[in-house]
Amino acid sequence: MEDQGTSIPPVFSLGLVEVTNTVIVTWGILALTGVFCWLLSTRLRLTPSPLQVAIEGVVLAIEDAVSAVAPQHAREIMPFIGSLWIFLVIANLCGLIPGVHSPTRDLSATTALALLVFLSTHWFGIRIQGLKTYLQHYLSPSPILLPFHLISEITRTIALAVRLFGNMMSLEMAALLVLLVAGFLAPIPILMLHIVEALVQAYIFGMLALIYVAGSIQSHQLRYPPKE
Amino acid sequence: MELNWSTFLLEVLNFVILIWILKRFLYKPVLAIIDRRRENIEQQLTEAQNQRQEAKSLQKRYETRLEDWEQQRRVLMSRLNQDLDAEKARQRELLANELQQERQKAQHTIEQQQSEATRATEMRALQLGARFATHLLEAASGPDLETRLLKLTIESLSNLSDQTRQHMTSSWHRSTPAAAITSAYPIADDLRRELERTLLDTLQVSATVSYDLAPELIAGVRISIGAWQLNANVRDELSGFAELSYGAE
Repeated sequence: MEDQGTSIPPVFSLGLVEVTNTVIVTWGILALTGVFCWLLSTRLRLTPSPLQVAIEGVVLAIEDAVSAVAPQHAREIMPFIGSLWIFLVIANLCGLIPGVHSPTRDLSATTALALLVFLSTHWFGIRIQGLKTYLQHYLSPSPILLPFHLISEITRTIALAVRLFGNMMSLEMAALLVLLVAGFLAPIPILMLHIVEALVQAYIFGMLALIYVAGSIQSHQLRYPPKE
Repeated sequence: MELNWSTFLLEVLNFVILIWILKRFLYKPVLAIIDRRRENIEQQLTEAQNQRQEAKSLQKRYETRLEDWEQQRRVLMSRLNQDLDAEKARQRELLANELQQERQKAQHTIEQQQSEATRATEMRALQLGARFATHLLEAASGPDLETRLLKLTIESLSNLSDQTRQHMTSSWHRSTPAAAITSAYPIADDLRRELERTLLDTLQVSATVSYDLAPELIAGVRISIGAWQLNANVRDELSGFAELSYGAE
């Protein structure tokens, strides 16, 4: 049962690199998303089709959500946050397909995403505010709080990774246990819950990432607003 | 629950690639097409705004023009009303004059008709009177009345004016006329001689005198010499009276 639930064995190895089921599913997601987006990009028209309207609605919804939190830098951070949402929704919902495991039930994948959020937070902060100004916010309001800032950076990244991993892994485990105990059709309500949980966790992860990035961008601006 | 570094690194790489794919094939083209559509909408809105401004300007211009036309219309209507009033007054005055003339003409016609009616009535009354007198005198007349009328005739002939006498005799110079004396009753011889003598003396002619009886004369005589005729009898006098009275009117 441990092998079925939490352990992700490699499917094959390329030298030192072990390719797990998580990576293969992620590649599948990459391929499908890439092909879909490429086809879509070739069929964009000023008078949109229903599919184009839906896609434009998704993109505008992401942009609006990002603009609501970071209105001045929405176009810069929107690709990263939008990609997180899109990937997490697809990855979380992959668990519903029989025989396919959600990549986000793998701690390695969620940790990789959390690390990217951690890095992008500093990347956008330094890029937009400058290195000196960005690092100053670790010393405000008092240099004494610097250790707490550093601990906060690490713990929230770990929390980000573990929260997503724990929720998605537990959902799949619960569905597996119900399937083993109750029979073939019994896990359907659990799968319905899986859909909701997948969307909610994707939203939470993306929104937290957005808040972290926006916080790093706007920490200095909020304290010292630009003179008009 | 252990961390697989290969998976970790590959997932990092995969996600970076995903970001690139989405940025390249989703965000950029979709946001570009949205921006283009927004620009088109903005352009259309601007054009619509310009057209609206232009329409407002045109509307204002046309309203001003309409006001001018309305003002001109009012002035022309006022002028037309004045002209109509003047023409109406003129026509009314003309009509009043015509009516007055017609009224006067009708009044004159009525007066003329009344006059003619009155005259006809009088004529009728005179005729009736003459007829009544004729009937009365037919019953009451006799040789005495004729004798008196004959004497009155002789006296009248004696008293003729020279002018009348010359006028009577001027038509007889070429031939000698024949005198015809008609009476209602036979005339006595002495009266015949006196009448012939007076007649010939007065007229200064010599004429053959013939006598005739005509009872319809009621009383008196009728003397005819050529074209000249003297009526000294009741009937002719009554007829003459009626005609004379009518002519005197």
